[in-house]
Amino acid sequence: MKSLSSLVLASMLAVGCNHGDRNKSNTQQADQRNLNGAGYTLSESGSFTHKENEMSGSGTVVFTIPTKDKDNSYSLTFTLADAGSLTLTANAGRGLRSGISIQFTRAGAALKASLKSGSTEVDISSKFRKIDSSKEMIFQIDMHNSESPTHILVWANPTEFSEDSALFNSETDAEAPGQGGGNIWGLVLVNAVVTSAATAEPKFEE
Amino acid sequence: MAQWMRRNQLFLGITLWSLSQCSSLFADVNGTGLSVSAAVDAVGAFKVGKDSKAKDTLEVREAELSLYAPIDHIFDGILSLAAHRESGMSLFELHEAVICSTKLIPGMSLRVGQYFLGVGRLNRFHRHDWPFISAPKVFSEFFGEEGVLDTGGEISYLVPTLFFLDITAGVTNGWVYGHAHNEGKKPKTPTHYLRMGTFLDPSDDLGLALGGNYLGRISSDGTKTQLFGLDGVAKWNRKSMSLLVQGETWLRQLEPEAGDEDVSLGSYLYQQVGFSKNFYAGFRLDYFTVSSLKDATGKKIHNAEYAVVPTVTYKTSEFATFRLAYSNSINTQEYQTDKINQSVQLQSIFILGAHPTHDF
Repeated sequence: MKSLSSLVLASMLAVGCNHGDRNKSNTQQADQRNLNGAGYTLSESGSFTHKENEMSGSGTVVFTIPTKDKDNSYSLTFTLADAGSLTLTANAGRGLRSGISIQFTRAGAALKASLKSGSTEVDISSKFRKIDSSKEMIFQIDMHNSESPTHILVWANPTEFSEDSALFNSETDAEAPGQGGGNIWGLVLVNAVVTSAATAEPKFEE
Repeated sequence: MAQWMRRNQLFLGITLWSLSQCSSLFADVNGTGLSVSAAVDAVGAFKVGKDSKAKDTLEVREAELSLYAPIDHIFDGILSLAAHRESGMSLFELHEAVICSTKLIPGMSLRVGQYFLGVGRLNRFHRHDWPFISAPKVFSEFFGEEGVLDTGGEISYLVPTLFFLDITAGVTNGWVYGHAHNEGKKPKTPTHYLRMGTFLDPSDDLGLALGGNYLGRISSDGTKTQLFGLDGVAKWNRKSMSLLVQGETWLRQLEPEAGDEDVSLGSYLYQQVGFSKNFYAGFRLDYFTVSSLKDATGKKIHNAEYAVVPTVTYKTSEFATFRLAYSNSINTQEYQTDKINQSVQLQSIFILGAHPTHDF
């Protein structure tokens, strides 16, 4: 009987410990960095530096917590050195494979933009001509991956979120080249400074 | 013997309709056989709490115009147009366009054209015929807010067995699946589906329909989709009192050609008590989880979305329905703050003209 009660107690303790571990954020694990509280891992880094509220330089950043829903919105605040770029990859598998991406590249004060899926790339720069890429850029990007191909909307310095106010709408401007195949998201920085990167529920709902 | 005859009469009645939605039972207008109906479904959703996603508007979600008639002595035809809200405007689009028959082969019905795929429970009904206002999470996630429409062919066969067994199989183009605003791309394997349904009537007052479902397709980019589902509905009626229990459980496997497998599971269960022919009170429970969800390091992330949706329905007749519902959903994900979405929903439905008889 004594051994049985010991076994029950040990089991309860084991369950309790396990529960505690589950509630411990991944951001508390070793080798984890975070941007404004969002944990990420870094791979393929060049001259990458990070602070609590900033990451800068060059490197591939994979955010630890996945996006459960197929449709999500991403807010990005960043600056680019000339010829620098920032790529957001969403709905990807591990290692940012098989995702749907949007890339912003600075060319002087102009901004080039493109959508990528696999080996297919679609140039959407014409929709970003009004953006001065030598200054800080703030974009809100909806990626509705429940649609095929992914429905992507981009707003610059947004105050309202409608199809009419979108700088780019893949339904009317240029179709996305595919659809993502996962729940992971991340960024690829090339001479970029990112001060904010976060996910939320889609800003636009039909 | 009397019991056997009663059962067979019931089978015949159910079979006539469950075989297809063809117009052998449609009301005849002016001797031409042509019937016209319109259904208008207006809904409103209002915020309860600051995190609610409700739009605080009342809008016509759908206005449907349907024409149906016998084409000749073998075939029937159905054409329906529906206006949906898109970017603030209501635009009519083709909903269903079907040629169908129950007379070609005894015990078999077929339909060809554009239609709601004959799988599950909710997907076989137009939204204005659902017993609640909004789609359960598992349905909107796997079939869209309204259901999966596509163009193809479907046959149903009432297997001559001692018990009721109806087998439905279909193949559709599969260029798109669910919500899309384009014609899509040619899939590697078109959408194909199978439903095996049975019906039990243990007493005069009680009927129970059950179904097992499979749906599959491989998209142009190589993503393999497989859905496995169970659906069931039980109805009990005595005098003016009634009881409805309806539910579905679905498992979806998505296997991208490159990328991670996505496995999701969800259910809903709706129970409704009818206190008279006019007044009903129901309660829906929803559950949904992405069971394959992992973080960037490959560690499993526990997650679930639950909802409770009490609903009150008032019908002045079968042609006018008013509903009031409260929806409270909680979206939990490990390492994330719970998201709570509460809203009050209103609905009014009216039907003009002849409306086709419904399946059980």
